[in-house]
Amino acid sequence: MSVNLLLLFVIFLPFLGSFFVLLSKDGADQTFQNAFEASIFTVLVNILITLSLFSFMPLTPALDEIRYSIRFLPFMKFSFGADMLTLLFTLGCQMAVLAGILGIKGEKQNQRHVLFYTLLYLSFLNGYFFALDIMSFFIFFMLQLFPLYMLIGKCLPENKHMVSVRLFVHYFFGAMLLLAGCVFILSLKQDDILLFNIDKMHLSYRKSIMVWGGIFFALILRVPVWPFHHTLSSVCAVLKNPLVFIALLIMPLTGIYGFMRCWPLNIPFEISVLSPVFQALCVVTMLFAAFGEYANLGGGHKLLNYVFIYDLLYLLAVFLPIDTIGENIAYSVFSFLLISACLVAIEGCVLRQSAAANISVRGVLCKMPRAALCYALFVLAAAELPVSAFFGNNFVIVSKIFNYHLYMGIAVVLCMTLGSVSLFRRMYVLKDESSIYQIKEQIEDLDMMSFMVMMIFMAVLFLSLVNPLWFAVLKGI
Amino acid sequence: MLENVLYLLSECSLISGALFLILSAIFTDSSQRFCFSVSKSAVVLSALFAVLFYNKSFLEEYFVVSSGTTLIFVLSSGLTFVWLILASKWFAAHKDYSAHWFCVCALLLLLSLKMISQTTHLGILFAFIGLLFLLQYALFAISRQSEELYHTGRKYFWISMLFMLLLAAILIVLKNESWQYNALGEYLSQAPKNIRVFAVSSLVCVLLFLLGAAPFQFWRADRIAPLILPVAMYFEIVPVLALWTLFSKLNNSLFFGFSEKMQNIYLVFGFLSVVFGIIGANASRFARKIFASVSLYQAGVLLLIFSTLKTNIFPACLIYTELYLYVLLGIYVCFYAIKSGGEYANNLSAFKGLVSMRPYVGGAFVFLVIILIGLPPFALFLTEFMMLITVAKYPLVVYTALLGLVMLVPVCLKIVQTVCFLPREKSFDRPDFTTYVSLLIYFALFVLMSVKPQYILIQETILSGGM
Repeated sequence: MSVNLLLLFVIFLPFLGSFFVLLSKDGADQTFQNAFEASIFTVLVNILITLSLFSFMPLTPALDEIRYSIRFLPFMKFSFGADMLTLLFTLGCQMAVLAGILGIKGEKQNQRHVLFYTLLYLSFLNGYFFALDIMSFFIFFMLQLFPLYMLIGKCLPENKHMVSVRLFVHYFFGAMLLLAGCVFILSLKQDDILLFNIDKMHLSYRKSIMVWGGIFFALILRVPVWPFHHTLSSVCAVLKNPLVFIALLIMPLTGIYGFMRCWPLNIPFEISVLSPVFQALCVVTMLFAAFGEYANLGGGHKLLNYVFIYDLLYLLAVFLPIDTIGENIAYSVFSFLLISACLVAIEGCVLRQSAAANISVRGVLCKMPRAALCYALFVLAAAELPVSAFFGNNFVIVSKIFNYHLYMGIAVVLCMTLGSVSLFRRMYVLKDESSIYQIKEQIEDLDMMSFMVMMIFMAVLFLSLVNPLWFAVLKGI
Repeated sequence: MLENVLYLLSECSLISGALFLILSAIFTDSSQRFCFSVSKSAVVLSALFAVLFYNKSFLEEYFVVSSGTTLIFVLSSGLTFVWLILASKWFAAHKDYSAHWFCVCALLLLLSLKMISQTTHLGILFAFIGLLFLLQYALFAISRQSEELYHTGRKYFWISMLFMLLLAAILIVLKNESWQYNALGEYLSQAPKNIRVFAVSSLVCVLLFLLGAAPFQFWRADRIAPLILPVAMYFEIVPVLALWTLFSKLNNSLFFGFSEKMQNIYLVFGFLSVVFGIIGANASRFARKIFASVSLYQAGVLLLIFSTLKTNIFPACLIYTELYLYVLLGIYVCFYAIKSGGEYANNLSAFKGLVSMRPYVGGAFVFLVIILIGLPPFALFLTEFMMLITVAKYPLVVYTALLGLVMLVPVCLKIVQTVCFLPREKSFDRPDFTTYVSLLIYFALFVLMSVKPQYILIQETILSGGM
């Protein structure tokens, strides 16, 4: 099969799968088994196709390795392509979504629509990651917003809808700035402008500010940097559904990916004066997130702040004037997505069981041995203990930050340490043996399928430590 | 001589259809269905004859018939045809309303819109704008729903007459000159300042009133929302293309000597329309009022785009308007399908939980609302994008249009939230089979236009050929 066709398959398969999920019939007792199985199948096939795309990659990453273009209009061409960076982000998101789908398996309410919008979202995410030209990049950047809004809207309580509207307007504003940037770029040359060629265009001073300012704000509005972002945490605070939570956690990474794709190595002169201010804002937000995580007792808040810390770490790394760090960021993001998605899924399972039994979460994991094992392993990985590739790549990133600015490096390490300690505290609460005697109800453990998938994820992380490119060398999967 | 009669067949079809309906209203007791059949046939015949003689005019001195004007007329006829199909459903459910006079008005309105878009003579324009205002007032009279609406109709009529007086005053001032657009344009560029200022500003005011731009019609949404559904649909959809054609024509032939001043005028009124549109949409709780405000915003955006006075911007603007009207048409099809206890829903709270009971209609409605705020890669987004690329040298215009869109997002999300997420309070009537079929055809065309936008963009060549 042609590699170009595989590329389109990865983008459109979840899109097609979403309609199967939507049209699937509910069970007699309003269960969503058919929808669940259809979505699991779609995501698994998607993962397999993405893995097979790895086999077309040489071991040294280079942009534009696989490329496929479609001429949509005489003056408009859509180009898609993949390199190692793209594939790692895509695979990470797909596996995170798989963990999220497994996380809602035990939900009592019908989740058919949630699964439908998730697959749509995944399809647009894949398109976004594979987009090579500015137009298709914008289209998928924008398209992600609608399924995400529907996902959030489906899962929020009635009196909290305004929060989701605020979040959508926030992202939409960013998309419009990007659109303005695209308009100015394409007015100069009405053909496909590849993302990595934007900085090679000859823009006037005024246009340069509008283009780079538009791109910068569009992408930064996705990353939780104060004061650009303040709505994501309000939405996550009221969300109970692990799958939607994971979908939301992927959003900041799309901003980071955007920076990795189209941001030049040297920040454009026109906005480079703001660079130190921006880095200071990142560090301050990171510190707030770290202390927030430490102080907050809720599992959702802890995970959210943990994710924020790492999003900001990647953002700081992206802005470093080093061209070799991209690969490390991509590997780290891949591991980070697996770890955080699995933690969210287990946390969701724990919360659901405790709510069903009407008990506190303290000590619940003692009654859930499989979940406890997974939780412990993923917390260890999240805390940067050297059991996964996460540690190795983050080590490189942090060392580069230290090299660039000592105080910034110290602040980053402090935040990461606080983040890890907070996760250990949460694990202590969930595994507090002194509270076991209070739990008399039967607690349902993590089901075998979810357990197996999480163990496979753990194996992937572990093997990545031994050889980060191990799945890339498995030719012809 | 005989060939001139043939060129008039398009107009004759409409006039004869209207006459036939008037006579049947006076002398026979024909059914509503019969009236709509006659009027739909007249519209189709008229469009066919127009296509047949697409570049022939019976009075070439006063009417320019080109492929561009024919295209506009055919599109307007298509919109009128769909409008009549949907209106026939409404009238079938409301037997106490007379369909005869409604159909007569529809045919004569189409005729006057055809004349307005094709004429090159100010006197003829005056006559047909007068007819248009009278017929629109007649539609208000048909839509007799409340005392308040009666007063609104009267107010609209008197304000229309005021603008007619303004147009009459221009004609009196210029009575010694030729009333042909081109000749008048040349005269005005050299005329004394007071005459020039008076004539141009009055004409611009009349034009902006016709287009429904703010502040001339900032109360447009309040005027349209309480009307009965077929009449509201007329004001929103049918006359738009023809009136924008008139706008473009007057700009090219009459105002060409005042480009710089026109730029500022359109910029100001465009900006005002965008602002009024956004405020109106966000402040309203009535669905039709919201979409009327969105239309005001769209008119503002078009004025902003026109304010750049770029050459050949008109075809792109017209295609964009056409696609916007197509989306709006879909929304009105949904309005016809959303009924509760035999009543058409208008208040937003009446749409609560629509998706849970009527998933196809609700889904289509939500989808179209999202399209309105520029969901890529559909054709409406593409044409808007192309239009913005053309005027990229004017960042103020680009940013105003896009930020306006951001401001419209909350109201669109409010609709989505009401339809999709809020619990249902009452049951919705089952839409009839034809509604589903029309929605299916509508979306098939929609997908075709999005997958192959070349079919839409081919019009650019026709419209660039001249009006």
